[in-house]
Amino acid sequence: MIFNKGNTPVNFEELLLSEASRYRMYPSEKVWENIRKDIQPQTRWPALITIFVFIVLALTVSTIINYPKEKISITKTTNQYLRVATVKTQQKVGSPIFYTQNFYDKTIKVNSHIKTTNKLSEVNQTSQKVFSSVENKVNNVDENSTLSIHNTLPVSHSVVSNTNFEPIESVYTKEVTNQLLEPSIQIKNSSQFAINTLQLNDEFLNSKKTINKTAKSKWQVQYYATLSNSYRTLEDDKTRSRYISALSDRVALSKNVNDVVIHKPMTGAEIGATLLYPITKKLFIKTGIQFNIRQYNIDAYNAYGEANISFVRNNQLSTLSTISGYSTNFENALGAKTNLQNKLYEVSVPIGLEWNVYEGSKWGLSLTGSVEPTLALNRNNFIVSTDYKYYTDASPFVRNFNINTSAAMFFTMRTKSLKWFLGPQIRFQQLPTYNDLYPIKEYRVDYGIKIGFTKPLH
Amino acid sequence: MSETALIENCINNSAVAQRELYNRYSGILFGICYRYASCRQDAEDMLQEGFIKIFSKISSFENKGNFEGWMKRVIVHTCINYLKKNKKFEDQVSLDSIFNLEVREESIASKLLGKQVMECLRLLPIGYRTVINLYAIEGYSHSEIGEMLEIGESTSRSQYIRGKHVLESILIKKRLIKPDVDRVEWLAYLSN
Repeated sequence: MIFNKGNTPVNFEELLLSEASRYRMYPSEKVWENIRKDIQPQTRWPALITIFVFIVLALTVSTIINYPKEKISITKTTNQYLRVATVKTQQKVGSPIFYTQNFYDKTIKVNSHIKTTNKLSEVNQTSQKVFSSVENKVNNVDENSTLSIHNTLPVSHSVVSNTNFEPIESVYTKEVTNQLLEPSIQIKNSSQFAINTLQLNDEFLNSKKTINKTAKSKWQVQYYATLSNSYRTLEDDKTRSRYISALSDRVALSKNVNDVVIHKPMTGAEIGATLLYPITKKLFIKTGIQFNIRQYNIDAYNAYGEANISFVRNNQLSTLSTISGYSTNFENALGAKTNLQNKLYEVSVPIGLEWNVYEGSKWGLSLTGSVEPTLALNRNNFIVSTDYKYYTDASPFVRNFNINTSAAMFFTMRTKSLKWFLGPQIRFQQLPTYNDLYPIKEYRVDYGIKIGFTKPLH
Repeated sequence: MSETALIENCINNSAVAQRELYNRYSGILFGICYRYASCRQDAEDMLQEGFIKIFSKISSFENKGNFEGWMKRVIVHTCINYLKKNKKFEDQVSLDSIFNLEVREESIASKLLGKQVMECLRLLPIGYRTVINLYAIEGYSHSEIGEMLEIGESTSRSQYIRGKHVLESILIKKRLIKPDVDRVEWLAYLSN
C-alpha cells in the first residue's frame, strides 16, 4: 500500500523507518545510576574496603587501649593458718627483708604504706614459726611500685628455718617493715635466716579483702554529635570563555553563578568518636572517626533539555551533554517548581588539638581545631550546567577525597565521671566538591552546634 | 570528543567518557527498547542490560563499520533476549481490544513527529510488533528473524503481513492516516 506523506508517496516500510529513525525517548536517571554501578564497581569498592579496614583498625586500637588493666586482687577467705610462705631474707636485721611467697598467683609489685603488727608468738628453732597476729592495712596501692615493709627487727632476733623449702611457684618480692614486732622473739640467726613455712594468722587475710588496683590511663575518649547547616559558594573558572562562540553561552558567562543557583541550606549532622592524649596538662592531641551528612536544597523547575557541561582539557574545549529534567529558571521550564536535594555522605578522620583554656572545678572553656581527611560515600548529587540553564547528574565529577578543617569553642561541665561540652563549630571544605574537570568550583562551609562528652579511659 | 576518542576512553574505563557515550546515544537506543517493550519499565531494563553489554564488549568493536549501528544491534539482541527470557511472547492481546486503546501522550517526547505512529506500533500484539520492528525498521531478513525468534521463516513472513494490516487499520482508526482508494493521506501530525 502506498501512503502519502505530504506530497511524497512512501511505502509502509519507508514510513516506519523514517519515523523510527527520528524517534527519541529518554530514560529516567536511575537507569544510568544502575549502569554505572555495574560497570564501575572498582571505583566504589576501594572506598568501602578502605572504610572497612579503617573501622577494623580503629576498633582494634581502641580495644587495645580500652582493655582493662588486670585487676590486682588479693582475696583471702580463710581464717586458719592458711598460707604458707616461703620467705627468704637477706638480712642484716634492720635492713629490708626480701621474701618470696607462693600464695600469689602472679608476680606483683606493690608499693604501699603498710602498717604491720606481727606477733611472733613462738619461734621454734627447728621448724615452723608462727606469726600469731598479723595486722596489715594496705592503703593507697599504686601501680609500678613495690610493697615495702621495713623490718625493724632487733638485731638479736632471728628466725630459723628448717630445710623444707616449698617450691617457689611465683615470686613476690616485698620489703617488709615490721614496725611492731615483739622484741621477745627469739631469733637464732641474726645474720641470715629463711622462713620455710610461715603460717600467718592474718587479720588482713582473715577477712575477705580485695585490693583492686586500677591503672589510671592518660587517654581519654570523646563522643560527640553536631547539627550543622551547609552553605556553599560557587566560583566559576571562566577560562573556557575563550573557546566558546555561542552567544547564549557567552550571555551565561556574563552572569554570576551564585545568582543563578538558588540554594537553601538544610540541617546535616556529624557523629563521631575521638581519642585524646595529653601533650601538656591543658593541651591534648586527638584523632578518631566521624560520619557526616551534609545537605542543601536547590530550587529548580521540571523541564526537559540538554544540560551542557563544557570544560577545557589539554587546551581543547570538551562538552559533556546530558538530558536533564530540571531547569534553573522558569523560562526553560515545562513543569512545576521543585527542589533538588544534594545530600553528601562522608566519613572522615579528624586529627587535631584541644586546648583547655580554663578549667574550674566544674565549669570550663575549651578550644579545638582539626584537619579532617574525608572520603565521599555517594555521588548522586546535582550540578548546574556550565551554560547555567539546567541541573544534571554530578556523578562523573564528584571528588572522592577531600580535606576539611574545623574549629570549635566549647563550654564544658564536669560531672562525676564525664566532662560534657557544648559549643559552636565551623567547618570548611578546603577542596571543591567536584573534581578539576568541572569548572564551577563549589566550596562548602558548615555552621553547627556540637555536643558531647569526654571520659577517661581506664 | 570525537567518536573514536570516546570509544578509546570507554575502553579505558573513563567514567566521563562512559557518561558521555550514554548521553549521546541513550535517547535513540531507548527509543528502540521502547518499541519492543510492553511498558516503560521493561524498556528501561532492556536499555540497562544493553548498555552494560555495550560497555563490557566495547573493546571488541574494532572501529570497523558504524559504531551506532553496532550499538543498535547489541540493543536489539538484548531486547529480543529480554522478551524471550521474560516470556513476553506468551502474552496474548485481543486484536479487538487494541482498537479501543488510546494512544498515550506520556511525555514531552510525544510531541515529536512519529511518536503517535510509534505508539500505534506498540499497540500491536508482541509477535506482530517484534517482527515488524525487526523487518521494517531494523532491516533483518525473514530468515534472520526466524533464527532470532526461533520460529520458521514463513511464520515470520506471515506474522509480518498480518501485523502490517493490523497496524494500518489502527492508524486509520486513530485517524492518523486516511484510506483513499490506493492512497492513504496523513492527517494528524502533518497538519502540525
